[in-house]
Amino acid sequence: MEKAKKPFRFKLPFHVVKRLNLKQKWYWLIKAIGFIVALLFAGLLCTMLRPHTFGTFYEQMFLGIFDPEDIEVFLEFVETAGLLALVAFALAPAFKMRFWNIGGEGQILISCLVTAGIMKFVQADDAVLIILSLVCGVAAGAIWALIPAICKAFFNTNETLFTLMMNYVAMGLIELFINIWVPSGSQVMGIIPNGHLPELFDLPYIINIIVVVLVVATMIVYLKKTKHGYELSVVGASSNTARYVGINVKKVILRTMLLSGALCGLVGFLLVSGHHHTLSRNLSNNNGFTGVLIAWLGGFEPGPMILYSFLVALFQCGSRHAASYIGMSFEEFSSIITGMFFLVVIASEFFVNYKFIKNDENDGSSKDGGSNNLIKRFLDLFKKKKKEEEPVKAGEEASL
Amino acid sequence: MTWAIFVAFLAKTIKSASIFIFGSTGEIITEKSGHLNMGIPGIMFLGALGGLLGERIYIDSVAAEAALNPFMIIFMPLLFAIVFAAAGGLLFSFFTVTLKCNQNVTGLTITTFGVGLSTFFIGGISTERMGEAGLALQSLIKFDWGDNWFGTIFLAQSFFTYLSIIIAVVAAIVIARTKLGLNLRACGENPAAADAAGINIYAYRYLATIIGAAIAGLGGMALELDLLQGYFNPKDAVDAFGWLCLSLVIFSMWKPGICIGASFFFGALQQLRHFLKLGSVEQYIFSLMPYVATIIVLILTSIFNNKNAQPPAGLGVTYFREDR
Repeated sequence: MEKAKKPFRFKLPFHVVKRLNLKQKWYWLIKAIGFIVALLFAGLLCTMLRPHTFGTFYEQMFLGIFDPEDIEVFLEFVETAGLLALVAFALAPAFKMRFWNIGGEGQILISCLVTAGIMKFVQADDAVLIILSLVCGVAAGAIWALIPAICKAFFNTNETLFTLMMNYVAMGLIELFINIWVPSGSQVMGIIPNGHLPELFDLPYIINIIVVVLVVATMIVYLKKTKHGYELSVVGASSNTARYVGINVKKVILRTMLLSGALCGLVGFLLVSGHHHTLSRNLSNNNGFTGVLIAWLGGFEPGPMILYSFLVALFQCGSRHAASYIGMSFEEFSSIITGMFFLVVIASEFFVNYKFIKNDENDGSSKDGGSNNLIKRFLDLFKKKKKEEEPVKAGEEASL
Repeated sequence: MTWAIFVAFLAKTIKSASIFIFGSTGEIITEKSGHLNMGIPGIMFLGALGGLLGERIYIDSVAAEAALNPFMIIFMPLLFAIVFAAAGGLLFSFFTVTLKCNQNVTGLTITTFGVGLSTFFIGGISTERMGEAGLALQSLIKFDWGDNWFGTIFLAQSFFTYLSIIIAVVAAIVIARTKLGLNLRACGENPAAADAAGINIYAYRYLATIIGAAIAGLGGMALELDLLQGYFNPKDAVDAFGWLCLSLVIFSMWKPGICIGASFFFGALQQLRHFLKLGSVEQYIFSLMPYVATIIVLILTSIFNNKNAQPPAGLGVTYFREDR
């Protein structure tokens, strides 16, 4: 009579279940802890790379977003955050209907290309030039988004990969046209003299900030209060349900992507005409991708998305300034810090959505020695040995 | 184009194809388990960082005039690249499998993070004697076939090129012909059914992601040490190689066997512009080709809706047992 040996199975003393209705208070607490951990990691990394810079890092990070002697630093911080928020608000409607548009980068860049082209070659007054490049830039972004949307609506093409590839086509086109427009072959386009957005109150970026605020406010109303906004969340929840209640799914996909691309196009226009006044493939500074992350982390809700935009801008601007003060290559350092911030925040999302529950000792699993307390397990083993010495019960014999 | 240039072009094509083979085979293994790892560019360049670091550590450890040991030249970068890239894969799978985070978002973050990290540190690693190491690397495996076209194209490649083809063939056989591969595909096609059949989904997804990342990391290392021999800027190479590996997976319709051929095609597209003596404008148009080709394949496969050319059904969906 030999008993079959039970294979050893490693068991955790808890299991993971989905969390329903997390209280707002705890949500914000988890997020705040995530933010502080990310900030701490950033400082530690900086100290590891350059010893004794822990305090300096935070000091310079603060100066990178708010310098009492230089208002432009703060304005640039607000503008960075605003443009990030605008990209997130452009992508959120598409994500809401589960159209994974990660082509924000390409839609921004193609608009940059068109805007720069018009600013460089059309001879007209600044006002005409601005209106013309605005219209054409927005249209270019919309077309760039519409191509994958048509394929998605009619052939069900995988939109994630399609929009991703469109990004690189746009980047390649920018390099191509810079090569054509700059005869020297240096691949660097100088400042374009015409078609700049004017500076209000002698301060830069003010117009960009105003435009962003207006558009974001409109988008909040669009997503929350209109029939369109409702339709796209129905399509996202279940495209079959949407079809049954009489929503034209194809039309919604096309319309939403048109809007999404047009807003990305607006970002491209603001970047060229209102900020850089030049063209390069790195102009959008990965905003298209960062916007994806912000939209998703904010759960497509206006409040969290705006908050995240400011936090990301804080990490970007702050760490860039700190790194250049300490004397490291700041672009790379800033992308490490931003990446780390996102990793920590994504991890904190787990604690928002799931919770640990201690295993119940009396459930079915604990009968066969699955008890998790180590001492208890030993005692069980001991008891079993004693049992084995006793004569085998009739029931067990039959089972063997 | 003369015959000699054509032969040199083919040899170079195979060399640059090996990088695509590494990257896309790794990604295919990951995607077969149901995880879309968009962090592959970042992970490839973590591998490049590891490879360069390993090479540097070995070169620093030998005396200044001593000859370099060809075995160690290959072994050290290989080890470091695998460890670095696998760490990236572990990070990705920890977030997506255990913490159940969105895969697109995690992948993009890992790309940002990995590219930033490797760009930051690669700039600080000196390239002293790297060229010499590259030459020694070439001469480790040498079949003596004389100086004709066959020898130059096929038998004068470096160890990494042969390794890439071996890995792709092994991966193709394992995925299509073995029980292990069947289980792996089951995890990607229908995780709930696979779980019910007693397959440990989490273990398969962890291992597939980590092994896939390690293989992709070798691609970054081969790019760094073999094709460019220590002189490269990850920021440009990400676009030239990293994302193309992701598009190659679609292009080869999730089959490592086809991926070898498709990699040669992409490698040829990439090398052709250096050999054709094109004007600069045509060069830029040429560099757009791989992306446009991928888009066309993507659209065509979706129009014809070919059953054999579809992504794994569970691709991109994080599995949570209580979610039914």
